[in-house]
Amino acid sequence: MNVALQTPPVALPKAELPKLSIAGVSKSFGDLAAVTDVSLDIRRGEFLALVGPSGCGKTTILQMLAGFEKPERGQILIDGRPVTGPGPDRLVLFQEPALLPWLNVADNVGFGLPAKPRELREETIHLLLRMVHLEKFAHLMPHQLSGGMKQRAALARALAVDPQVLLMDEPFAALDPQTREILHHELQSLWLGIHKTVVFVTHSVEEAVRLADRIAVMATQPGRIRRVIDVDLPHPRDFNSPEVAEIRAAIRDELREELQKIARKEGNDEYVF
Amino acid sequence: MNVWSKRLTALVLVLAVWEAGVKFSGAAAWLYPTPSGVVANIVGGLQGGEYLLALGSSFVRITAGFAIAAVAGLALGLLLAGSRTARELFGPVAIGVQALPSICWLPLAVLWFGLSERAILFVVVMGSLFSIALGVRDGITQLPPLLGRVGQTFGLTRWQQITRITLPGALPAILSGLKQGWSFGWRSLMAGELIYVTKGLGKSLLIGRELNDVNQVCAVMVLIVAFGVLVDRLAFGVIERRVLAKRGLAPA
Repeated sequence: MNVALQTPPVALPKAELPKLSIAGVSKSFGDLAAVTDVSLDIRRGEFLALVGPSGCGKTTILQMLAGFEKPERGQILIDGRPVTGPGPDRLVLFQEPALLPWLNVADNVGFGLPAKPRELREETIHLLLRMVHLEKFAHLMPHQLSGGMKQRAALARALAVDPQVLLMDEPFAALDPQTREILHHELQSLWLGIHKTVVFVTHSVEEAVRLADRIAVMATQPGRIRRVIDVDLPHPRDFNSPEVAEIRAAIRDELREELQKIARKEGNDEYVF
Repeated sequence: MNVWSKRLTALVLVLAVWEAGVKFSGAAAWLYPTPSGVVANIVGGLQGGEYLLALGSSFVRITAGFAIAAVAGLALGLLLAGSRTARELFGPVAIGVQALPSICWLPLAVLWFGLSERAILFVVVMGSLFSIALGVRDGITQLPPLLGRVGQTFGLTRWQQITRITLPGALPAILSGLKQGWSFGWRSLMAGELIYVTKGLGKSLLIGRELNDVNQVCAVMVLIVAFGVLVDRLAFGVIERRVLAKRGLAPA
């Protein structure tokens, strides 16, 4: 069996500095403790999924990695140096595509690229559009695209600046299941080609098991990491294989306890997961 | 029958009844204008050149005043949107001043600048400045915060945020602020020209009254409306529709 279950924080060989470090981080909004004493290292080039029920602080962690929020206690490090604010080395892909409505698809994709030299800019845009299968739609405006096309354009815009880290905040949550499936596939083959460090926030166990090398399962009240699960399976993954089933069951078990905890607090006897 | 032919038919009917009414009721011709008299006056005034001259000098004034108001309004709007302190200090003042009919600035303007072009320019600027500033402010504050975050994650500087996210994002609201500002400026100018007599359409209106020429009074009113609608629909309307259609906010 090649499924290893670990508890955080993961120990790494000293020689290999983690790409991102979340070191003893706490953050609250008013009286509400969003995350409490979270520690997690994210390795160079790995695809890490943060999974958990709503309110577990997974988005808060992503916001702190991005530099939009500052931790109250603890530190966020990139290559060993503290994160001081947002920047193009850690590009964020939001749940909404957030394309700029006044620019066409090509100009949106080229948003982070320098204006000159012009030929290089146009060539890069063309390459990226081909990569996300939007080359025929370069001159359309964002409002003329479907939801999946918009998110693909946003992904191309992010990849254009060649970020070291991609931070993805439930980027496919608003899409229909078929489109999500296609985008999973595309993201997978893109990621296999470029091996960027990816932190992917999701509440979908399927999405996490399909895409991630490691899955951090989060707990609520207070938000913290319950368990980190390695997914040491080749891509693309066969959803009917016993290994995948085993990992899904393991995550579900962790989450079921969380949901029961929430249900007890809310006074419901039955909480079907 | 489409809406334009309906409108035209209704207009022709009303004008015909009006013309006949004035002609056959024996009403005093110096009190009650007739459509034919108004048309004749407009044609005569345009051919004689008086109305073209009046229109021209009003146009120069509104253009100069509006240009000053647009630049100052943009700056003030950016300040109000960008600085909380500025908003707290000047926000209520801007709204309060906007509630003042701009012609009320004329006595002050005459005291400061004398009976000069500058006085009338001042009234026009005061009439349109605050509409523009508030339009810019609202356009910026109503921008989705997510777009600002896009700029941040791409590492834009403060200045780039303004030029690449804030201003293009707020453009539709800025345009409607400019449009409203222009229309307020035009009204202020007409009021100013009525009170402080000099060249311009306002003066032509006043001359009509002094000559007891009711047809001239109505003819100039028609010209003022026509010019106002023309600029509103043709200049601002076309630009606004294009901007909105490009973003999918209005039918192309």
